[in-house]
Amino acid sequence: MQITATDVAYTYMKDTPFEKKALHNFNIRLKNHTYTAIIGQTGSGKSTFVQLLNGLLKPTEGEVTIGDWKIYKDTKEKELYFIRKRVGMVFQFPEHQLFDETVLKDVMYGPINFGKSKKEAEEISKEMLTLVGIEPDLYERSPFELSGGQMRRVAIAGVLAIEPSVLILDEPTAGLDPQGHEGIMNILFQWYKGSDERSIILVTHQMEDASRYAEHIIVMDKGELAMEGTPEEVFAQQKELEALGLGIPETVKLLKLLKEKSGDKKINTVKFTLGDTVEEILSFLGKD
Amino acid sequence: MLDHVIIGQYVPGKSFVHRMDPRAKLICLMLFVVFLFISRHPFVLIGGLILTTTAFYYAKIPLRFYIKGMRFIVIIILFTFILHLFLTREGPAIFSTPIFTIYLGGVTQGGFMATRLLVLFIMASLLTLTTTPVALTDGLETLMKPLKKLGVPTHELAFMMSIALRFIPTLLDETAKIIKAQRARGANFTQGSLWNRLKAVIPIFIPLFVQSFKRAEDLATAMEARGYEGGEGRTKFRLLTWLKKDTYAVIVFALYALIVLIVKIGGGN
Ligand SMILES: Nc1ncnc2c1ncn2[C@@H]1O[C@H](COP(=O)(O)OP(=O)(O)OP(=O)(O)O)[C@@H](O)[C@H]1O
Ligand SMILES: [Mg+2]
Repeated sequence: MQITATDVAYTYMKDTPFEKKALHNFNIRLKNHTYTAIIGQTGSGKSTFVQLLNGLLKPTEGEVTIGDWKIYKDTKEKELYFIRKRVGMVFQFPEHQLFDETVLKDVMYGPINFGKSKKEAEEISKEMLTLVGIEPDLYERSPFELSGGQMRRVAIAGVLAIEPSVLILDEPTAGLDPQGHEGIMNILFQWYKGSDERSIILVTHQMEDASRYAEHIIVMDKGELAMEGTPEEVFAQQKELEALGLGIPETVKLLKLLKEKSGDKKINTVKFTLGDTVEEILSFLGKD
Repeated sequence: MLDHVIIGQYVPGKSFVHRMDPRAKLICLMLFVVFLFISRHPFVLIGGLILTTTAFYYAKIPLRFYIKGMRFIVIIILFTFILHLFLTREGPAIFSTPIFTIYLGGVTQGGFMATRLLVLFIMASLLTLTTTPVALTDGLETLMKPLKKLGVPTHELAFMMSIALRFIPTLLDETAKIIKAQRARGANFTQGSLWNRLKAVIPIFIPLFVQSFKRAEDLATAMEARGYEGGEGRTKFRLLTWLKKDTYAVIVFALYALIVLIVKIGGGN
């Protein structure tokens, strides 16, 4: 689904002494079936923006469109319900949303809320649990008896089971070890590739993730759009990123250093995977 | 939804009331509450109104914000007024229909009770609006000190209160987050039958409880790890300072108390 934001602004606690402008003058257009990453310093408004995309917050100014739906200041809660069926949201520490007696029942909560029959819900829930790598012998366990990483997977399955077209992920791997991180990022990417109706919007602090998975990167600063483009375009601008308090992926850093020290102008520094980086180094060494 | 509740909230500021010693504020509030309710003489209420207006003025709380947060309280007060209006049968009838009659006594009684409640609430809310929870518990603990001789665990009581106060914003935050997460999964708290709405609350309360227990455990471990052993021999990092203006404020409220007493003894009601 195509997503646009037109002149969007959001202010927390409007008309109180705690008033806080978190987003202003925000304009964006995302094509159907794209993997978008949003990066930006802490407090730059990333979480605020993504919550506007499924109506958990309504813009104080401007409007957001998701496919044929519009979200603006006075959108009714009833319409937002339909939007939420299309736009799934995985929050930071999603395991905090688990509540039901068993893993399977918890995953079925979403699809049943969105009108699926028990049987359908069970079917899709099992499918999603398999996708995230939860074995059937855990289905009848209490979600509170799982390990942290398992809980995270169950919570993600709970959102995938809604069968959204757009999946929003707000730092989905915060607090996981590198392996757990890698596992979940791969599962999510696999889900994205599963159909060309699906889109992902990933909020992350890890430049490596943004460069490896995303096709489009949005850089935010102080509630505004600071930069936008493909990973190659964005990460070529090291100086501008650093001014915003952001870094570049390690692979790019390495190749940049190599280019600088060796003086070899032919080195292409914008490589995001380990494989590509090694190839570049090998070709520099003349050993390809 | 939870954004506009002002009960128990602190609004940072540098006003006269903000800078008062929490002990002075507590004493003033206690005097005010006790003596406002001692007598039904109109003078007492008028005096209370004047004190409240003055205190509110000196607290410099933004009026628009305050009024927004008062909505719930105003509904309760209106309800009190209406109850009195219909249930009191005193004085001449001023309005009558075949179903009910309103008497003059109802209007004055209702108005009296409503104003009393309003004044009481404003005064109490000023205390929490202008005092940090930490200062509030420090103040309470010092004021309760005499009770320690009677074996009341004053430090523990104050400490419990400060922990509770400390976690109210955290809990509200967490509730808001969980509500959002479940709404994203299609939860609907505003539609359907009463039973369905009640059921919709379960997915919020269970995670909230689970989190709270976890947090309590973590807190206990962290306190133990840092050698917490209760109140005996503990010194304070923040010291309360009593200034002249605190004395003046207490004197003003004490004078009010005195006047109320005189009216009460002299006037008989
Ligand atoms: N519930 C809230 N009430 C008031 N202000 C808020 C609230 N949530 C966020 N803010 C403020 O809005 C601004 C943007 O916050 P937001 O959470 O969108 O940032 P973020 O980019 O997601 O940061 P992080 O990387 O730390 O998650 C911040 O200045 C924050 O203090
Ligand atoms: Mg965030």
